[in-house]
Amino acid sequence: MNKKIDLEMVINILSFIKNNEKCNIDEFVDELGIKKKELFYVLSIVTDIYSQHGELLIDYEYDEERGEFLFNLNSSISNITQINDGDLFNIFFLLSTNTIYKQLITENKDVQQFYEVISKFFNLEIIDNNKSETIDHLTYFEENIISYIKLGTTDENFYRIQPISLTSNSDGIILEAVDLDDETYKTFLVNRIVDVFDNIEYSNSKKAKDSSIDLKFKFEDKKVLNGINQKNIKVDERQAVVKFYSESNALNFALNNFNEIEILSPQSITNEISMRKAKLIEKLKL
Amino acid sequence: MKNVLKRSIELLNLLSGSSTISTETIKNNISDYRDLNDQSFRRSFERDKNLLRSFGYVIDYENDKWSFDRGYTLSGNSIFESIRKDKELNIEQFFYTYLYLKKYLSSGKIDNDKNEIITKVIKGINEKRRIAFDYLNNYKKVKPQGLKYFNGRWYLAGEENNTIKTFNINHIKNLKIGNKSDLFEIESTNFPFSWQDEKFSIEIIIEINNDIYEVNKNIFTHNVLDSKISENILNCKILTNDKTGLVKFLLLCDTKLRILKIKNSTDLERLLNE
Repeated sequence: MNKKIDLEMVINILSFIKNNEKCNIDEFVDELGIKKKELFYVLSIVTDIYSQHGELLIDYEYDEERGEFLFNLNSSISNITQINDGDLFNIFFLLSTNTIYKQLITENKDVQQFYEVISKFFNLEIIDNNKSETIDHLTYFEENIISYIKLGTTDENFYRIQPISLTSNSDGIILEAVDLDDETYKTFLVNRIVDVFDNIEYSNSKKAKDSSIDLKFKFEDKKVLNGINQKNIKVDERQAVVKFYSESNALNFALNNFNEIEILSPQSITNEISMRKAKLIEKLKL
Repeated sequence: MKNVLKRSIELLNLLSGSSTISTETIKNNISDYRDLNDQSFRRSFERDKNLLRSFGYVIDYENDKWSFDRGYTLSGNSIFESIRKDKELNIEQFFYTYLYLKKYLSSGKIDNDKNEIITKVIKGINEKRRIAFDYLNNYKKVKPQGLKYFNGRWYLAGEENNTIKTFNINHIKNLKIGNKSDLFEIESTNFPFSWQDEKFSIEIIIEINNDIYEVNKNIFTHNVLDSKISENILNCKILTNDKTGLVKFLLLCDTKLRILKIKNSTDLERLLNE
């Protein structure tokens, strides 16, 4: 599967070139974890950029026989910042919270030095009471089977995945992985991974295919829309239609905002919420 | 996409090399902008600014009434800029380690607003500048001291009226950084929550599948007392003041949870009947 060509990839390639004016193509793509065609695509972009003084930012020669690049760099390229604060913050946070990476700090001198250098810039108090031992059993870039409780549900589902990387957002720490059955990239909230199995009789047959759903609701305060990707929202006055990845995601949103929104459709979600509310009112009458 | 990436790099290159850049300089130096009328230029520039913002690079318009320099500046890059000034550090090795770690740790760009706020808070802390922001219908001016991560959420610890207070990052809006640096000292890395000393109004004893508790517990602020686990069933006493959060938790856990005892359920029932 190809990596997404984005600004981060372009900046990493520029930074690599800055540190290696002469380099081998195999070393280049290996260090950056990209494919050769992605590299040439990005080179076609950066070799079309001019400095303030009208000079090319980067030019290069490529020796096909030897597979070697020779880059000619304009001095202004040194201005481009290679790593931004948010990126360093994210790495620092993940290195501080995940035991695999904590181990990396003690075992790898370069990582240890990297961690020490960036530590000076972050005054953080991290109280992580989530159980992290489950993800410590994951092996990266290999097949793993996990049990996972999806948002909005209380049942476990099994996934055959190949973990790619960890990241964090406002929902917590997220595992990015390839779902080996669907051959698609998926994200899994780490605190919802219940178990990681070495050896299990795994069957894909029970997993229902998710289909996207439009949730229509009325709201008073637009803060309920915070955290939803703007591309998926249509707002008209105090009414919104939000496209969710699955019905369980939509239900999770509706339950989390039960006192802020009034669901208009679909009826299945309105019914589910009414049913859960009624059951809870009964449970509270002890 | 090719042109957007090209313009983004051109903007970064232009702004990284200068302290403040005027709108005219930006328009004249980026070839794609040059021939656009003012309205189209503004639209295109705003789109490009948003893309850069989503990758952690923030372009702000500086309008300091005490300064002659007005125009656009780039922020979100202060840490690496400081690191690369360290002559004793092998910056090439530092970058290789970064690439090595990036194979396993990708940067989260899902929530731009939160990333931007955290980036600005870090700048405020490192440069010891005051920050101001809207917080739940109030305007706050604080001396930022640090960040606290608790139960899957980020909090800013800041000094307001000589008291250290914690602010949930998700509720912070329109954050601005003050002009003056080195305004205060930072001594602590421990930031107690104000609610830690509160008396709890709700006491509930529940029996729940432990996995379901673990994946949903961060929904509400609470203390757990007397917990026992047997065959993956957790039996525990919970103390909380977060009534709305508790109702969300109970609704989400649904059939996997039994309430064994509860004190003061009237407010919960009122919330459910609203």
